[in-house]
Order: sequence, then structure tokens, then C-alpha cells
Amino acid sequence: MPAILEPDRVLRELSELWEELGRQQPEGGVLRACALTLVVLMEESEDSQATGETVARLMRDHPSRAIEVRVRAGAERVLSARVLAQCWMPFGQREQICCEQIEITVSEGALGDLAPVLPPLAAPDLPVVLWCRSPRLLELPEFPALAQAAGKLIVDSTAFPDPAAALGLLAARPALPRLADLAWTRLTRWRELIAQIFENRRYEACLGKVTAARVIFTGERPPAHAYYLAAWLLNGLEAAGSTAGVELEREPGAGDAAVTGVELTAGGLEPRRFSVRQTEAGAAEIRVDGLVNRTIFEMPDDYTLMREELSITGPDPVFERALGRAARLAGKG
Amino acid sequence: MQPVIPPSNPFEDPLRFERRVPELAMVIFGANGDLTRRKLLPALYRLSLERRLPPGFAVVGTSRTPMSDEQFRQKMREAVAEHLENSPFDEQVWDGFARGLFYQAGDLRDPAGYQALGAKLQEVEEKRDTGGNVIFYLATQPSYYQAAAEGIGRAGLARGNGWRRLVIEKPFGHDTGSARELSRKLHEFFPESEIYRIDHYLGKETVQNILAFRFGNGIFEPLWNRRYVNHVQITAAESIGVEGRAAYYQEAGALRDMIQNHLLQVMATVAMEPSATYDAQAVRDERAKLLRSIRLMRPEEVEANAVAGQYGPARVGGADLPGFRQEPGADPQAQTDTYAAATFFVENWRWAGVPFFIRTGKRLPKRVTEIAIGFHPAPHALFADRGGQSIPNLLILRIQPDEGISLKFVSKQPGAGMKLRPVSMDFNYGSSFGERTPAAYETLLLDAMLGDPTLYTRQDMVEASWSVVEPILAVWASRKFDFPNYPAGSWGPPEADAMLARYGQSWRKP
Repeated sequence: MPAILEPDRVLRELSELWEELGRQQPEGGVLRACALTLVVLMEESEDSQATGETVARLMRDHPSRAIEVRVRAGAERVLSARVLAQCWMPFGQREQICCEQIEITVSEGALGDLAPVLPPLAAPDLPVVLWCRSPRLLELPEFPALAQAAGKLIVDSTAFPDPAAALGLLAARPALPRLADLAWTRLTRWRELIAQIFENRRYEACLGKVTAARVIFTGERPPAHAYYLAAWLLNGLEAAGSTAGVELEREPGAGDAAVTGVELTAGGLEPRRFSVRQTEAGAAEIRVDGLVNRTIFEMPDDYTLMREELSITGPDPVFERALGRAARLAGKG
Repeated sequence: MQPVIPPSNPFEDPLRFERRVPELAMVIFGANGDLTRRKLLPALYRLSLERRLPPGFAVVGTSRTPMSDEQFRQKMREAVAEHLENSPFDEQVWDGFARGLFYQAGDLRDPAGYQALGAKLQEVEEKRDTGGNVIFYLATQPSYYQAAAEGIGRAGLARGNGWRRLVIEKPFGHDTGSARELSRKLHEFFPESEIYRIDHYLGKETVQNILAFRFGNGIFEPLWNRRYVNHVQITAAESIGVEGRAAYYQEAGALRDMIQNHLLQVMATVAMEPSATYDAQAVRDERAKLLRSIRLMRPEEVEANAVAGQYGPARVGGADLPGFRQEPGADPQAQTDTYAAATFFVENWRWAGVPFFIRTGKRLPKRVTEIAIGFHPAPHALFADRGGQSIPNLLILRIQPDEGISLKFVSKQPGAGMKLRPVSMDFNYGSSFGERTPAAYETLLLDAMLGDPTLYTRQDMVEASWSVVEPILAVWASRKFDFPNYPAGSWGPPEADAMLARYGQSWRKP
């Protein structure tokens, strides 16, 4: 396999692909949709079919030029590409909607050659998002150069063996593009439920009087998102005037590393207890003293998490504030 | 306008969280009726499913039928399970939601009923921490609006320790005078800022998208005027008939039922000036200004600029469809317009001389709502003999179904020579944003709870749109039509085609 990748050739093949698709659909035609370039950096050993399916689902929400980069371990020089289209036909319509996909296979030995070809392969004038699926790749010396092509980098700190180290690494990142962490994205529903409770003015008035807060988790040690949740709670409580700390409490019993509950206790003249607990797979219970509400609470998959992240194109100040604090909490152990 | 998200909640993350509402109770008058069962409760349940409602959210249903809270919950459970669209029915979510449902029987004309309602609201506030915030939703016959507002006011329920809002459904009167009188009565107890007049068309995502399209992009607004736009066509076609509503419909007719409210609001959204801010008052000011700028027809102009139609029986696709007069409950001699079309002109600098053709009808060939902006042809016919001369550019804003935007333009056919053909550039709302589009009622209920009236109609807008259609209604009331004048399944009466032909145009066949 030659270790040369010419962007012009790849783009020409893409253009021929569109012509061919158009010829196949003389009646309704093909609708080409593109809102961003999504670069997916993954190990070649990873289940590429599962990742491909996630990317294909994302195309419907965020039509993209997808560039899947599969990194092969080893010093042998490999750099090749092929193009294909992801198409679907919306129900009841004649036109197919298609997004384009470029698959690149690169060996670690040739990774240094990839960075210069990514920018010309990206769709012009549109945001470029880099989704790095492997912690190992994030730490390769060639990674910063690859990340320069992107305006946003998405990682998942729960995939790192040591959450504390992962959060430290992300918080201290040097010249990386704007960062997103799927461990934080996993918390959106938790955070939404908690925030919703305090839309009530009477409950909100109790926030400054919160004396104790707990984040409950399963697993041997707190996962990265437990630190994030604790950090976010601390930021919110501080803003409300509370000096309470947040405890991370392990729930007895076996289970994967996950957050299972949050509790806040407020003192003062009107003591109150607020909690959100995951009751079983797919459900959560919100309690304010005796007032109980239940809601659907699905565990988000990669598609759901990425869909949310791709919809955020600008800075994310709430995350930025939580990241620094979570890293400090995790660093303290 | 009140802030959409209270800034004091330190846990808010507007970048990621959907809009959330504060604590409140919603009182639904007509809780046993169709609107409540088909639209309101499914929309509220849906908001609960999406975690948009506060934990203590409560509904107090009221109607004449005696029922316990539990019976009301059971009845609403059946209604939601039956009428919920594009969503799963989840027992657990329902159980939580149903704990906030309460019922109080009462007659709208009986003052004692409002006292009992007040006591019930007090009880609910204590149980659910609703903070004294109440929305009164009148899902009743319009003839009860005044009585209900008065009953609420006289019982002291229009004021309290939280905010109080009143939501009403169209029709808002049957002419300018009655609309004004209705507003006057409502204002005795509720200020205009707390009255929310629902026009569910404005809650549709794609109608809201018109504002995003026009004012969020820099390239279209410079073309959005008489210099470039030749005419505008607004179509709201329904393939169904009156579906058992003949008795109501023959009192209203298409002009009152659709054009006076929904389609004039859509026209105002298409033609209004940009507001200085995206603020409820500013946006509604511009809509109102546009409605007031529509030239009122003189009686002698009505014949040429407005067309009434009524469908007759026809066989379509093997099915025998009845005419309007054969519909159950319809008067066999009814003079009801099941089709209405009109040509309006806006008297301002932007739109002077540009005709706005509006049509709506029942039993047309398909269900479609769209706005087509027809641009002037190129000033010099360079390609006159090559198929390109008579194809002006067309921008189509599709509201339903297949929501989206298409731009038609001509392009050179590939190959030697210079032959032109029309092509279409399409943006499909649903497939470009894969998320489920919220139903109009979800959007509007959420807005009312948040105190955002941007998509609601204001008194001056209602009166202005009545003024626009009243001259037509007056002429039509004085004449006898030779109905039916279009067969079910066709695009309306030939007079509507003739109306456009006078302007050198023809209706689109969407």
C-alpha cells in the first residue's frame, strides 16, 4: 500500500461519487447536506462497524463530511483513503439525502504525514470537529498537530484508566482546540433535573442554606463524571451563598462506575431535602421532601452524547468552570 | 416580557438545557372537552416526558360533569394514551404527572363554582408548592369566555400571590366590534399583558423559522421587497371535509376560520419589518403594524379580489365524497364558504403594488400549507429562446407537511450549447435536524408558562385582521352564491384562477 495521500485525488473521487449518485436518481435527485466536518480518530482494532453506525446516525442530525481515521499500530508506513456516501430517503419523499464519508487508514509511522492533508479534505467554510475515541491516541506526539485542524475536540474521560489523571490532563491541556468531554455530556440529564427543582422560587431560596450535598456512585472509585457533578454542584452552591462541601459517596454493591444519585439537605427555618435518584434502568425519581415525581432517564449512548456536543459550536463556560474544579477535586483523591 | 430563564437559578445552563418553567398550576375550563383531551393534556404530558415541567406542576380541570380527582386522572390517562403522537406512553411518567392532576366540578355561570375553584387552588398550592402562579385556560365554547373571565375576576382569582394569566382560543369575536367588546370584558379582570390569545399556526416550528430565515441571514432581506418580489402566494389546503363540524363551520366559513387569523398572521410574519430586538413586544408591534398596513377593500373591489367557494360531491380515487351540503349537520342550502381566496396589498414602501394571494379550502387535492415568493424575471431575456426566459425564481417556504425551504432557479443543462432548465435547491427541516419537532401546542403552552407572548396574538392584531376581512364578509353576506362551485378533490373554483389571471399569474399546484 503506498504511503501517499493526495487530497486532490480524494476530492476528485468524492465529486465523481456525487455524479454517480445523481445518475442513479434521475427522477428525484440527490440532496447533498453538509453542516460540518467530523473527523473521527480511532484505533484500527476498534469495532469500526459500531462507530460507523454511530456516525451514520449522526448524519441525520448533523449532516457532515465524515472523515474516519483508523490508526494502525506499528512503524510500517501506511496511508490510504477511500470515499463513500451515507444516504437515506426520508419517509414519503422522492429525494435521497446523502452525506459524504472519507475513510483513511494510517499507521502510527505515517501519522505525522496526516496532519497536513486534513485541512484540504475538510468541507470549506464549515466547522471541523475532531472526535478522539482513544485515550492512547490523545497522548501520541503527533496528536497536537492533528488537533490543530479542528475547532473543537471531543474526548471521553471515562475511557481513561485513571479518571483523576484524565481530568488533570484535560484541565492542563496546552494549545488544544475548544474541548468537550462526553463524561460531562453524560451529566446533562442529571443537571437538568437538579436545575429544574430550583426553578421553584421557594426551593431556590433554600440553596444558600444547603448544609450537605452528596453525589452517590457505584464502582470501585468515583468515575470522572462524579467529579464533574460534584464540581458543578459546588460552583452552583457557592453562587447561591452556601459554603457546604460535596461528598462523593460510594454505594455498596457491585456495579459499573456510574453516578446513581444526588442529595442536597438545606437547613434554616424551613429545612428541606432534595434528591434525584436513578431508581432502575431508564427511570429516575425526583424528591422534594414528600413530593415525588418520576421521569424517564435513559442512559445516553455515544450517538446521543455526540448529537448534543455537535450542536454546541461556541464556548461552553459552565463546562470550563466545572472542568478546572473537577480536576482539583480528583487530584485531592 | 418576563425573562425566559430566571437568571437567579445558579444551576441553569441555557446552552444545554431546554427552557424550563417555574412552579405553577394550570386551570383548564372545559376539561371534559375535545380540545383538552386531544391537544392540551397530550401536550402537557409530552412536556412532562421531556422533563420540561417543574416537579410540583399541577392541572386543575373544571367542567360541569361531577368527577373525583381520581376519575379525572383516569379519563385523562385514556385521552393521552389515545391522542399522543410520536411519543411513547410511559406508565411511570404518567403516574408522576397524574399526581398533579386535580378536578373541580362547576358551572361557568355559577359564582359558587368559582369559590369552590379558589378553595381547590389553595389546596393544590399547599400540596404542590405552585407558588400562587396560575394559568386559566379557557378550552370552552367562545360564547363562555366573558362569563368565565368575569367569574374568575369576581371570585378574586385573577389576582394572587403569584402571577395570573388567561389563555383563550380563537375565534376572538366574529367581527371587529365583537372582538373589541370581548377584549374590553377580559380587560376588566386581566391586563392585556396577561391575556394569551392562541393562534396555533404561530406555534409551528416552520412559521417561527420564517423569522430565522429572514432576519438570521444577510442575503435574503435585501431581496425582500417590491423591487425584487413580484407576488406572494399563501396556500393552506386541506384534503379533508368538515369532519362532523358542519354545524360550527357553516357559521364560520373559510375566510373567518382560516384567513382572518392564521393566514393573515402568516402573511404578517412574511411581510413584517425586522424588529429592533427579538422581544415579544417588538415582534408583535411589527406584526401589528403590517396588519394595519393591509389595504382595506372597497365594496366594489371585492368581486375582483375575493373568491368564495363551496365543494360539491365528487368521486375521488374510487371514493364517493359528499358535497358540503350533504355533510351531516349541514344546511342543504348553506351559503358557507369552504374555500376562500383573496388578493391583498400592503400599503407601505416595501410592498407597494405587490399582490399577496391567499387561499384556503377544504376538500382540496392534498393537505399542504406553503408560502411561495415569486421573484421578478431577469430584466433582460438573454436566454429567451433557450428555455430560460419565462421561469422566474421562486422561493417556497413549506409549513406542512415536508417542512422546509426550496429555491427554484434555472441552470444550464450539461453539454454543448446553452439550454436552460429549472432546478430546485431544497432544505428539508425534518431531515436536516433529526430531532422531533415539538407540536404547536407544546411550544405555545410552554411560552404561556414562561410568560413569553411572542407567538400569541394581541388585541390590536386581532382587530386589525378583522378590519381586513370585514369588507369581504359584508359583500358576501349580501349576495347569494351559486354553490357548490368546485368539486371535492379539485383546487377550488375557476373564479379563483381568474382572479390571479387578472394579475398575469396562476396558482401553484403544490
